Amino acid sequence: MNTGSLIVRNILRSPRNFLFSSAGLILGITTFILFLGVGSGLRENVLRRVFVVDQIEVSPARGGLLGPGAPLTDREVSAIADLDDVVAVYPRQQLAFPSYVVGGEALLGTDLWSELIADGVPPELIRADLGQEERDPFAFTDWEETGSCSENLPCPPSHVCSGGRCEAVACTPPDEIWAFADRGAAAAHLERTRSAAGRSGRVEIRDAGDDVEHRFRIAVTAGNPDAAQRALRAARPGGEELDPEDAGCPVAPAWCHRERRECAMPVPVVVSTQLLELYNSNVQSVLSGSGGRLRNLPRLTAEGLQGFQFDALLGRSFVGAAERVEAGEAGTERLRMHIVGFTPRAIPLGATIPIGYVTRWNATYRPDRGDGQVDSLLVVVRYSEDLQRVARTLEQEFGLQPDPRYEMAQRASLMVAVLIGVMVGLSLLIVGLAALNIMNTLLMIIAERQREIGVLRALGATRGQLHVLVMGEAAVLAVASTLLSWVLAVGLMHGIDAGFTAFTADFPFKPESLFRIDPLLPPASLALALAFCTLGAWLPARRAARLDPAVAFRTD
Amino acid sequence: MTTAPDAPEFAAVLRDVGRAWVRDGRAATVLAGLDMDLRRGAFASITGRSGSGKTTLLQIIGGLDRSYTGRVTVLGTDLASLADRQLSRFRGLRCGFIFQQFNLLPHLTVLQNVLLPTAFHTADLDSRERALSLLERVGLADRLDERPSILSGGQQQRVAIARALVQGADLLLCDEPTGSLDLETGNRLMDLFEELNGERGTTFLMVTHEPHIVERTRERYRLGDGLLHQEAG
Ligand SMILES: Nc1ncnc2c1ncn2[C@@H]1O[C@H](COP(=O)(O)OP(=O)(O)O)[C@@H](O)[C@H]1O
Ligand SMILES: [Mg+2]
Repeated sequence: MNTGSLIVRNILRSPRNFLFSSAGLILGITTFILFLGVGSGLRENVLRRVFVVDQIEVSPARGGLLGPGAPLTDREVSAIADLDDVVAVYPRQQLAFPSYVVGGEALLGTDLWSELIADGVPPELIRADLGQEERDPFAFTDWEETGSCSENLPCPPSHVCSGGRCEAVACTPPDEIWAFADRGAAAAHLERTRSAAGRSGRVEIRDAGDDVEHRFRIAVTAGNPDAAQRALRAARPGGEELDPEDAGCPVAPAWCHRERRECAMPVPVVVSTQLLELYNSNVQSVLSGSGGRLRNLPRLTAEGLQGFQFDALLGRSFVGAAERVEAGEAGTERLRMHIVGFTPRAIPLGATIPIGYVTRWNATYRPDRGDGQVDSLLVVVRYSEDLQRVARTLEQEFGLQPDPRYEMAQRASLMVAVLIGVMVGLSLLIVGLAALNIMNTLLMIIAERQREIGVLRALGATRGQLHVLVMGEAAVLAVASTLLSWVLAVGLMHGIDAGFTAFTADFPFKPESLFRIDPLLPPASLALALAFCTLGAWLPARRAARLDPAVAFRTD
Repeated sequence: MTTAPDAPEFAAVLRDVGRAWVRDGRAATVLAGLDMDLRRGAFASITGRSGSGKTTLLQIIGGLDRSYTGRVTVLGTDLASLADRQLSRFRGLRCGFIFQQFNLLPHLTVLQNVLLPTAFHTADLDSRERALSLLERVGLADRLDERPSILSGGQQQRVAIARALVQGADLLLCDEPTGSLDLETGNRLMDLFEELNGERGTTFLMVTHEPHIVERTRERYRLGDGLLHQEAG
């Protein structure tokens, strides 16, 4: 016989009383688990993913009507990086001249054009973020700056290491090779292309291939190669663009740079996780409902987009540019880009690329702009709780202005905190009422068993042991109720999630689960149950311990 | 009285013991100037009118009532010197109680009831074996796993005896042990008491109002006017 088995036997004696008491407790603990679970879920789904709450983007304050303030100096950037609580700073330089991107046929079934919005950030930070090796072909690396090479430091694909320097392999742009049925067809096609291309570029049969395969190279030799290329394509039938295998570069993802006629690495791009989510939940859904040519857009995943290539035209605006092209315009460049990752550190709308590219291009296309300027700074803090303090420092001591999204994140964060507070308060209320109920039950049981308690005292039980017996009943009740509450709560979470997935439409950042179970939640729920049960059992235990043992001798 | 109260030949020595209740703002005296010398191995009875303080006296000797005046030495220990924990241990290990109402716990089996005192204090390691041999001794070896409620009154009281002795008590304090039993059953219980007293030298102090029970005891006390009178046995 020991106290533990006495406690359990006592509980089993009046199962109905205890079932009734624990029902309230289970209700309270279950709501506690559910509320905190949905609270953590909100934090995770809304604050972490929608508003990334451990970072803030700041830019030099705007001086009223005078436009943007002076860009940040390197010294200021490193001073901010040295602040306590700041884990990393991502200086950003914006692409300061019009450009546009085109691509997507392989992925979306049709090519899309878009103005290029791009920011340059230091590549090491993003690589560290994504866990990438510098020379991985799909790393976020400034390939134009990787001149040197050695055994340990390989060259990018389609480059060879020669005398410690990476040299690009020479290549033939694939889109210059077309196959025709015969020379006559080729000539007719060329004629059509010339008229279609108009002023956009000079097109000619440059090289008659062997007679068997009727291969001819139609070279775009000047003007706007892009427009001419489009004209070439539009002027089909009769010709067929040959597989790039025949030309291009030997090892992907390198591509054949048309002007340089040598292989180049695509410019790596990282995209905001928010943007992908936005596309999937809104753009794709809305457009697939429309009857337009974009109705068959697929859903995109981060994995599916990894390595996706598209072209960028630097120095040219997409707005009205597709058809209206000035012949002989110089200074435009067609480049290949590819997606190498998704991260919340990327700019929300647009492409984030290694800062070296942006600096060089800005120097070429916007020589009026000084180089080495930081337009904005993404500051990442260690704990989201520190963000507010860091934001104030940045504002007051550095004269920087937070991104409007910061204010929104603060508001959302506050709302979530208040919501969680209210819900937890509610569940505490339920648990508190349950504890009162338990107290009542125990008091009733003790009044019923006065004689028995007197007998236990006569048999040698100390006051302390009687106290432990009563508290023990409450503790066993707390543990059992917590276990049952978890079974119930997890079941409800699955049910609610299933219903949520089935009955609501897609929206950005629609989570797979509304709940998140913090590792501290199980011990916290047990501690809560134990604390309230102990509190509820305290008075009955005291009463039992103080009972006069003489009642055991009563004969009534 | 010349012998010391803690001399080994005494089970209980009381000197000038008083006990009063406060009732309606006035003190109602139950015991006053009571002396007692109960020898070890005694087989004693206490009689007295209802309300004369018999039960109160048993509770004082058993360490359940501490609000007395005077000096109470039980089994060599001055009870006033013990704190609640030590007093509980004393009750648990050294003296046993037998009640008129048996006071077995209804949700425990016979064996569990006998083992109940061992939940609070441990006398020795083979308490289970001891419980089994005691149940054998009181003739209930075949009822170990039954609930007390299906046993007869006499059988329940035998379980209570086993429970009172399981920790090896030297003194059994019995308050009307046969009060709820018929004559025949009461007599057989007294047979068992006598045997145990003879076999083990366990001291028995019984409160009773039944003359045929008194007749079977060797030491006979009568409680009246707060004092204990010893009668010829
Ligand atoms: N808890 C109590 N409160 C007040 N008076 C009590 C209490 N217990 C016993 N008494 C009084 O003490 C006296 C002796 O009681 P008790 O020892 O039970 O007598 P007996 O066992 O001889 O019948 C009685 O007058 C009774 O009323
Ligand atoms: Mg009495």
